[in-house]
Amino acid sequence: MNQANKPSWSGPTAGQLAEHIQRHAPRGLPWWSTWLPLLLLVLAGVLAMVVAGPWGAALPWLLMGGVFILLLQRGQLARRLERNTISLQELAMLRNFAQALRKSWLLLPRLVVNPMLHLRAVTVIAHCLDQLKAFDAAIVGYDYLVEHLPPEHPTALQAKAQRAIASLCADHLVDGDDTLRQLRQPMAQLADTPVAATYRLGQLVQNVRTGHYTDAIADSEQLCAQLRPLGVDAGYGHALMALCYYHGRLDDQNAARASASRWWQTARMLLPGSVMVDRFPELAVLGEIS
Amino acid sequence: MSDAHTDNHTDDHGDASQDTRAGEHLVNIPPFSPYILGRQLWTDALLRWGALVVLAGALGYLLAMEQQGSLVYSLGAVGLIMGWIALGLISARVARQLPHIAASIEIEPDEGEHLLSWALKRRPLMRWVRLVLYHRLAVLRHHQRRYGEVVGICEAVVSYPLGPAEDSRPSLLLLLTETYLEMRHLPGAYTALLRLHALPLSLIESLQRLTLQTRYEILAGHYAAAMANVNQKVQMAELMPAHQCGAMHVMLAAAARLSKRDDLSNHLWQRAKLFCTRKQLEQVWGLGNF
Repeated sequence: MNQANKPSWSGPTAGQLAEHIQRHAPRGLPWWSTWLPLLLLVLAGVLAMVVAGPWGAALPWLLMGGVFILLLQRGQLARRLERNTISLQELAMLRNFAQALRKSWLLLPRLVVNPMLHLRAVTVIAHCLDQLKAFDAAIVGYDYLVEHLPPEHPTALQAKAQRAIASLCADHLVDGDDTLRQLRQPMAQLADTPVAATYRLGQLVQNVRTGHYTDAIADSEQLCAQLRPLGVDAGYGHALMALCYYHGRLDDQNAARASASRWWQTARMLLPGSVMVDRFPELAVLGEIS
Repeated sequence: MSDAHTDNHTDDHGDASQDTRAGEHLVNIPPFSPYILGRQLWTDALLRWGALVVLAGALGYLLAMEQQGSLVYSLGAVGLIMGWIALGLISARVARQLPHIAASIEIEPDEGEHLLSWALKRRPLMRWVRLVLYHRLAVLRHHQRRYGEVVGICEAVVSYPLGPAEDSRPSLLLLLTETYLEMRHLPGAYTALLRLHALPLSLIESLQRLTLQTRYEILAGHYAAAMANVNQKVQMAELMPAHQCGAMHVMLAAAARLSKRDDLSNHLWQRAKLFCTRKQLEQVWGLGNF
């Protein structure tokens, strides 16, 4: 399919996502469904007592058989939903964000019976929207996670850190700053974790978006170690630091350019330049120095 | 070997965590014996099905005595139903503790062992519940570096049909492979890897298998095999957590060096330093600890 015919992707808006999650909010199994097997067994016992003749002997056993089949099917359904949710996460891991988003959107209504799987699907939706640069909708997803998880839960803190980055990318600078401020204290206990590394990346994005390049350079000594838990995604942080050296008004501009070049080369060891520029378009200027 | 599981007559009431809170001395599980596991499974089956046969036999007797409309028959039918439910509840109660046991093993192994000891003493258990408990025991023993016992447990457990816990089979084989590699028992590791290749694996399990297979290939001197499809392996490694990604890069760098591909080796080593701390690199590389 050539570029002219390729349909443009139009993901859900923030309002559409909010409505979808609200319409398919988790509610667990209905009370009657939980008690149904026991009620049927009690009915079987009562029938055994009150119904005479061969039906009185056979009906309880038929009901018991029905209960076993019901429990078996319920177990199979639970396992199927778990497998489907895992496949969404795998698609997101493999960076098939559009497909993961579409499948998790369609699966969400079926996950209302299992709140944990429902949360995992919303996590996938928020992450995919973020990667596809639908930042406002992603923020809705992250907010949902933060509201429905314990405040100190690592997933909640991760969601908050990513929400901060999404806010900054969407030019909601005050919002992003507030979120980062709220994370300062919890991050003190979580050094060398992916959550703390995401927070550090968020601080770097904030420095770049607000033009505080020299502040970022002043804190750059430990940056490599701080971003390490992100794996290849640390490349974004290295690239942003290169940008800070590129734009920073330092005394020795030649040394600054050399530092920018080093950070950019390190970033490109982790991620392709095009991927980083796609995520942060301001990095395009670094193409001159490679 | 004595069956310590039947020798201890502890109070069966209350769950394991209450026993711990009462300050009871933490119980250690005796060394594993496949004979004891087989006997426990046989005893569980005998208790569960034996109880059912006895009750059904009593009902059949009443039917034969043309008592199907009598109160005694009705009560017998109810008793059969409730008895079958009660037998299942024992397994359900233990199964509910499984996540808690797994978490305790990671955080506080002694507490985890005590919980496992409590769970293993319950009778009768469904086959899959008891086998999953032994899976947890294998994980605990792996943390304690009792590798001989880990091998015994894993080999025994995978020899049984796992029923609803069949999804645990890859995890057991991954643990078995890793343990054989720790013991430098390459034939065992090879056999376990073969069995893994015959199973459908999730993405995360596939990544773990890739790491173990690469480790095996280097230990066995199959450097060409380790270098096969190296670009694809690097892409797969990038999906792993940072530390494991780095370890994979270190192994591939070693294989590249031994295959006289020094440029590739240097590039992989430079990348590994971006994923791992110096201490982590020394653990993987400096000791040749593949």
